[in-house]
Amino acid sequence: MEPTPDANTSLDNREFTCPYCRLSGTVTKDVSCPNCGARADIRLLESDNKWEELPGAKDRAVIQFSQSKVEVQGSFVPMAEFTMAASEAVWFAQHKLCYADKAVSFESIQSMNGLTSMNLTGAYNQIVRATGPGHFALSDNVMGELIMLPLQTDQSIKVRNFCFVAASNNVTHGTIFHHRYMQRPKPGVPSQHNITYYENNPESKSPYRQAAEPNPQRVYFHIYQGETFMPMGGHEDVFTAKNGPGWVLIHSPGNTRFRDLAANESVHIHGSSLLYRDPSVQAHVVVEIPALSNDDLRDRSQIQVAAHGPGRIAVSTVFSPEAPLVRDVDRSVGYNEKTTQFLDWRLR
Amino acid sequence: MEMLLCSWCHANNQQGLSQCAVCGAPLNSDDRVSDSGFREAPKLRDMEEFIFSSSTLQIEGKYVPMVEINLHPDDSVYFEQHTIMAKDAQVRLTKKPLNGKRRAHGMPYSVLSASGPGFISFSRDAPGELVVMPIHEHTELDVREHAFLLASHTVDYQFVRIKGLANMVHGGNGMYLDQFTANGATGIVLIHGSGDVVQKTLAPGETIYVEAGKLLYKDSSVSLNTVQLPGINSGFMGNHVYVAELTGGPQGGRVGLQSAYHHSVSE
Repeated sequence: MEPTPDANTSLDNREFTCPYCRLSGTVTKDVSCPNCGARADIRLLESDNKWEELPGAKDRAVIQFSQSKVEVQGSFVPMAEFTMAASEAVWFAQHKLCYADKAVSFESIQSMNGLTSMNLTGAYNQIVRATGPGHFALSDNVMGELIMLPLQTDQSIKVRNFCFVAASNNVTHGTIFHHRYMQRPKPGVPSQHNITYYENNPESKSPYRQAAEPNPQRVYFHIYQGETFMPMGGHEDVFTAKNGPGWVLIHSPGNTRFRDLAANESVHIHGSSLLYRDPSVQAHVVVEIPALSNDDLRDRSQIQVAAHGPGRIAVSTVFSPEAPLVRDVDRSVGYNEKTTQFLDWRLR
Repeated sequence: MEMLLCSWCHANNQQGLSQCAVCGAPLNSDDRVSDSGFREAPKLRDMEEFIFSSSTLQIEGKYVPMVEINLHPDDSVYFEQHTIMAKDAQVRLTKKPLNGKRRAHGMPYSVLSASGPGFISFSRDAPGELVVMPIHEHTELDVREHAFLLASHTVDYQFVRIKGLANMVHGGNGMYLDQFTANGATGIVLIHGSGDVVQKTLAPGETIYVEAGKLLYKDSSVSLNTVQLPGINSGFMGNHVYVAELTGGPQGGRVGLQSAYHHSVSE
């Protein structure tokens, strides 16, 4: 880990460009970014392989939006306390509510309940709009960091499912399903067609030795009849700012790291660690067969997600349990003892 | 002599101190309150030390902090039996009589008392913060069930079952409240909050809504009721959102919240 030469050592009231949210602004009194709350007084840390630490919103950081603001409280399971101006609104998932005073008015967003609520929260919780004036606070329920993602007009961001905390009122939500129920495998149809095999051994003459090919459609695959593995979760949330700049507040379990992928630059990550990505970043599943493996050891294969630039990508250090072991999918026997573990953040 | 009042635990401190001698809360400009009146729990440093009666108490660790106590021969502390980590052989354990029967996690609920001299340590198994709450004379603190780590022998303890069908069905604040009162001298209660802990002092008659699972403690003067969050009502059978309504009494009162929901099952 080496600090970059152009490390940001700016203090309050200085103009600077945040290395995390990429927006310019004046450093606040708490020496944090006015747009995302990240610390502005530390040296930007970049690891040898280009991953940077995304520090999350600092304790006591204040982020202003319109006439309202949000203040971060805590460092283990941080809360976001909103101070809402009159007639300004944000929307959030009901189960993230910590406290509220009586002045805040709440209403269900009927059009976003039901399936949208399922996608956003993992349950039929309420999607609620809170309108000022007044105070209320939100938080997740696991150790981690609050990440503020400012969005320019018509800018979108893809976020891991169930990390959503709140969004500004002009941000819309969409869903990208990784698994379409109409594409369940049919009996007799080879199920490996959704996998890119990748054997990390240049000297191998195995037919599995091939480069990972970018294909955004390959974000899931069928392991066995009726079983589908989705390393990036069942879906991703897509947030878009309409009619002006907006923001999305997400909770990242554990710590967060991010990097900029150049055009055609690729990186393999643990699928469920993916926190967010720019829409320009494509991702698909690869199964890497470790070098020195032979056919008998093919069940040691590693399931990964290949992300292809250009664009930002962020990962969190707390993710789902270890991906299931994958055996040679050409064989249709021997799966009973190894059941696919679907990613399910709802259990957390 | 002019004294500094700790805004967290309400203890008096000598002028010139930057930190409360009783609970460790800042007494200087670091004691900041958010716009809605919440202040963060004192950030107890690793290896921070406190004195109660004639014994010393030390906080160890940051994420799942533990407490180590050097008990004086005249002192004792009591605790839920499953929170003990280690003790010297000469520390004597006795069962503390309770005011009723109660079960937790399918097991009989029991509180043990440890008498000095010797070392004894405790922790709960959840990431979070420890809060040192002094119990002064004429004060009573209501704590969420299974959240107190230990209390000194000068503090009386009893538990009450939370009343009301709405509380039981929709509350999420548990079945019981642990109540602590001083029986003469000032004592201390250590509370483990999951995640981060914040506190607000409610003015008389002031009301806030709290997600019941995040309620950690309150002064007994603060009333607790489970109500529907106004404005949210959709669908058949009503997808209501239930929250705890906390209202300050004639003298106001403190409310402590934890940012992570951690519920221990009681029966």
